Amino acid sequence: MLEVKNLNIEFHDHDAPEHIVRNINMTLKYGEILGIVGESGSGKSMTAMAIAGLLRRHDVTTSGEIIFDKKELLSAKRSELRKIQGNDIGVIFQEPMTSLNPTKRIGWQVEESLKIHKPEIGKAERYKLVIESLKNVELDNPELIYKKYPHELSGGMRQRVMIAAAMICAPKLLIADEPTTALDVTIQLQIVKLLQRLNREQKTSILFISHDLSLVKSICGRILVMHDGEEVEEGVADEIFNNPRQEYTRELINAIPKLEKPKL
Amino acid sequence: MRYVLKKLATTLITLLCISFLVYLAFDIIPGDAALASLGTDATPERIEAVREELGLNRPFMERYADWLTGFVRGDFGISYKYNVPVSEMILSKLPINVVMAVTAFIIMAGVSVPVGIYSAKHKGKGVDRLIIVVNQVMMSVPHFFMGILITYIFGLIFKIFTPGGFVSYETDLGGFILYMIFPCIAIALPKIAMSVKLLRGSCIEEAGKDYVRTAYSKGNNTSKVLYRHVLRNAMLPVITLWGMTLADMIVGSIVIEQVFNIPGIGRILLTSISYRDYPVVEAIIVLIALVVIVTNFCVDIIYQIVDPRISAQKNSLSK
Repeated sequence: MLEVKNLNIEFHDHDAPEHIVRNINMTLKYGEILGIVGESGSGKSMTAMAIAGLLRRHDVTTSGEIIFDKKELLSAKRSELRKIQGNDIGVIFQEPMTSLNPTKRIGWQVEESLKIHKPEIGKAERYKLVIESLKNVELDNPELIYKKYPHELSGGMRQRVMIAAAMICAPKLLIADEPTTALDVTIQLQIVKLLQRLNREQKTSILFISHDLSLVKSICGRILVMHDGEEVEEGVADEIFNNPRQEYTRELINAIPKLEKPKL
Repeated sequence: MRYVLKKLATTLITLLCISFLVYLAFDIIPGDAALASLGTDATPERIEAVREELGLNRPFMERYADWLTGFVRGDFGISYKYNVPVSEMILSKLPINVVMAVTAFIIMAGVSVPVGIYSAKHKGKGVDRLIIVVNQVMMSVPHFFMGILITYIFGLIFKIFTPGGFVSYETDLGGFILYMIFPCIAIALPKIAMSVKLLRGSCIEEAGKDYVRTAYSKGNNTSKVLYRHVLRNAMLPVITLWGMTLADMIVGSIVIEQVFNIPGIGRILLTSISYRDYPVVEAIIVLIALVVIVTNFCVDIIYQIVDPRISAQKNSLSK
């Protein structure tokens, strides 16, 4: 469904051009969860934003191909891209605190993609879909939350709202860019479980970006490890975890804090 | 609602303080109704008699209380100079200034929002740079000079209106609008420049925020992102400016009416000051203060509607 071939991303809004991403290849099948792992600055978020079509075109040059549903996105017209954004590709971001518009009600923000992509749906029907979507992300009292503003919700609730907004058009691909990094550990787990359930029930493919290898291992079937804009290795999650072929991956695994019994 | 009531209470107290200070100031300044009506060569005994007759020898607080209750009922006293009720003098001219200020305000709001957004959208391009330069020029030219320029260009060169002429809205509405629109533009231009500059900057700042990226990820195009998402957030500082501006425009209309020879409240104010016609001056000053304070009150309320976070903050502070 998603195929990335030889993706290169170069920024040139600074003094010298910066090569952020080099020759990245990946494929994502229907219903699959693929994890991209790497430390900050490894280019994993840039890769995700390129797939989501959210890179500002006049600040970057890209080469390679991103083929989504038989369409090439990097060279697609902006108007074509917009038909896909929010409809076939949903995105959730790292910062649930700032990713929602502070002056608009939750209901309005969740239904926005519907209004853009499915204007034929009437107001009453749309309201029903939004409430359903809020219920689907396990928010209590969806009717109440519909009328709330973002500042009245907690971080975890806001991330659920983000997911509800991204999933409202039932996209084929959900890009989750560090969706749990800004949240408490207990809420992290709930969000991960929620994403897994959505993947299972709605067959949405998920591209899960994180720096947390253990988190990625618990949710993703396959993993792509990135370092300095390049691919380190790619493969089935368990295999990479148990038997890393590259030194860098081994270092990443060893960096995971372990729970050990205190020595007496 | 509690917030509104609280705000209303402080507004009333402020008004009370201002009226007191104004009344006190005119009590301290030498010269009063007796002197004004009799002239400087009257005998002290005669002046004293008139003072007694007008009740000017009563204690200050008593006179203030009288004046204040009169003011609340719309009775602003009697003009020393013309011997007619002040309210009649002012209320016949006030509509002209209110119409001028409100029209100027509408022009400012109507022009500056699209121009500010356009400028932010095309940041760094030729049009944007041109807008910045024009803005800078307009901001540094005071409105009365703008008025003189407009009179020269549209009155003397293009002959669209006769400089110094004026048509009352009772006789000819079309002519009234024609004669009012240019002074209003003169008042509005510097304010347009200020709000365009502020809105442009605030739009550019908001456009870099996370929620804008979210808006794009839903398939919004740039115009929709700007008008549906950025504008409301970017308007917050602009609303503050506009609140101060409306009051400024009332005062501005007083100055600009001299340039365009419009018989508004400004002319009354100037003659009253030179004749020491204190009841008139007092009434106008307190009325202007009233407009300023009521506008600020409205701005606070609007601010709260536009940004839902404000009321939450205020409520949590008051607990």
